[in-house]
Amino acid sequence: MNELVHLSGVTKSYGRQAALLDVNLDLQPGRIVGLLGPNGAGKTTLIKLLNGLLQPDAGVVEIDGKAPGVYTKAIVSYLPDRTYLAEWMKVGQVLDLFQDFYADFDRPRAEAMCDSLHIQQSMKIKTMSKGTLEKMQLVLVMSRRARLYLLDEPIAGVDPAARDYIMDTILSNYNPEGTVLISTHLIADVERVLDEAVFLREGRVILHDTVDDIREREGMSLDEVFRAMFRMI
Amino acid sequence: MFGKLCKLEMRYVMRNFLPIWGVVLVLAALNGVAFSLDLDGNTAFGLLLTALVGVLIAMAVLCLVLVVQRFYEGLLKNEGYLMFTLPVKTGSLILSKGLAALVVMVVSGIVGVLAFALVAGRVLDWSVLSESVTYLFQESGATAGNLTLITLATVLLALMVVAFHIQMIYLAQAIGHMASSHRVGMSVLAYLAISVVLSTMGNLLSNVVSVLSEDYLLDLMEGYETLAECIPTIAGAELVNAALYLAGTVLFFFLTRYILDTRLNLE
Repeated sequence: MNELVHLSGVTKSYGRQAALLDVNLDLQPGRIVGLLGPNGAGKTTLIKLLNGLLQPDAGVVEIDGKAPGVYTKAIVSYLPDRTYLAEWMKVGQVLDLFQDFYADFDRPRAEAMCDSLHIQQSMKIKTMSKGTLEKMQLVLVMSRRARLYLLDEPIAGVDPAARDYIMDTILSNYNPEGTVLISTHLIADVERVLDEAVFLREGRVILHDTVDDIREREGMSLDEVFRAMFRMI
Repeated sequence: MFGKLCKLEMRYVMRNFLPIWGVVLVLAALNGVAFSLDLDGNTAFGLLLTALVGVLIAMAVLCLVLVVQRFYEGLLKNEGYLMFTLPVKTGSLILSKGLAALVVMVVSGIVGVLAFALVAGRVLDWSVLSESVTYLFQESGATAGNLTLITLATVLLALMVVAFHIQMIYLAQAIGHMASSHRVGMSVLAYLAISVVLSTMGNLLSNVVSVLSEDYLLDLMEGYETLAECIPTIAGAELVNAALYLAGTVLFFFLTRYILDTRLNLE
């Protein structure tokens, strides 16, 4: 029992619309895991449940043996699929905030990454372009020595060059002893970095295995497996 | 961590309210000067007075907006994705926002009184006013202890009333948040429903506990010879009311925390 993430019988609905159905999933430390599925498969819901931003209708959600709460939030670094920084703040104030609340926040690393992106600490969040803001959030999230990184669609809606930057930033900054869970439907861009893949369809986990085993068993790349699995009829 | 949350909230509210408080005081001082120069009928004087009244109304409205918006935008919309993933307790998030709102309300009230003093100070004859007040207290037989007691009780009651209404707005928003759609509308409905419940409860309570009755103080004062004699009783009634408002505030706080802990649904 050394699972970092443990979900058992997790169900979540929005009104009559089921988002997750009886999800069972265990993730070990030190892995890079792809949470893969088409839009509406339940990826974001699963990540929000792990963050405590949603409450399950049924089932157990645990991180390092504990339900989402103050302890788990201190070890989880979360990149949401939207802008969550207050527009009135300046970059320096955001760095102060992360330094104040997260003991594992590596401020010099964050400042160095901001410098490389030409993001000044005096810059206001309000004045940043969408792309710069996404990179800023990635800098904050990856500057933590977290035990679990939950990255929700980090490469959705950005150009290929930005995707490369994002993936390189993740790979060169994550805590190797921690686990990275990346949700995406852009398999080709993440396939090279994944140790494991979790396929979600209509709220259910339909496949969870190591990427090597999936490739070997199916005789094709993960991207091809995904396309075959979710081909529109 | 709670202190850091308070610092974050205060940074936001000060950024917005310091300029407003400054503008109110400057306009009040200018109006005071205009009054003392006897510029009645002058267009500039009219504009100054209108501007001051406008800014005072804006300050009051912004206080209310602050209470609603900091909870809604800060916890239930996109900023909530950050705030609810900070390693802090939900109660700390609610309390930090409530305290910041309370501070802004209190300081805005003080600024309003100062503004009045700045305007009236140029017009009133302070020596006459001072003599009148002294005479009133001498006649009533009030002691320094009595005055301190009634002042403290009144301030405490005022603080509790404000805290109660802030927490009531938070609870209404938390209830509205449980709806799957039209959450703002549901929050308004929840606020109205809580108001109706409170009004009904208040009527029932005042029938049982005489100290809560609106006529209680009037009846009480008729039985005393001087104002000073009934000050301790008035202060006592205020303290009982303050305790009830405190109990309501605490109840609303725990209900809000329970909803956000168990029914949070940031979609």
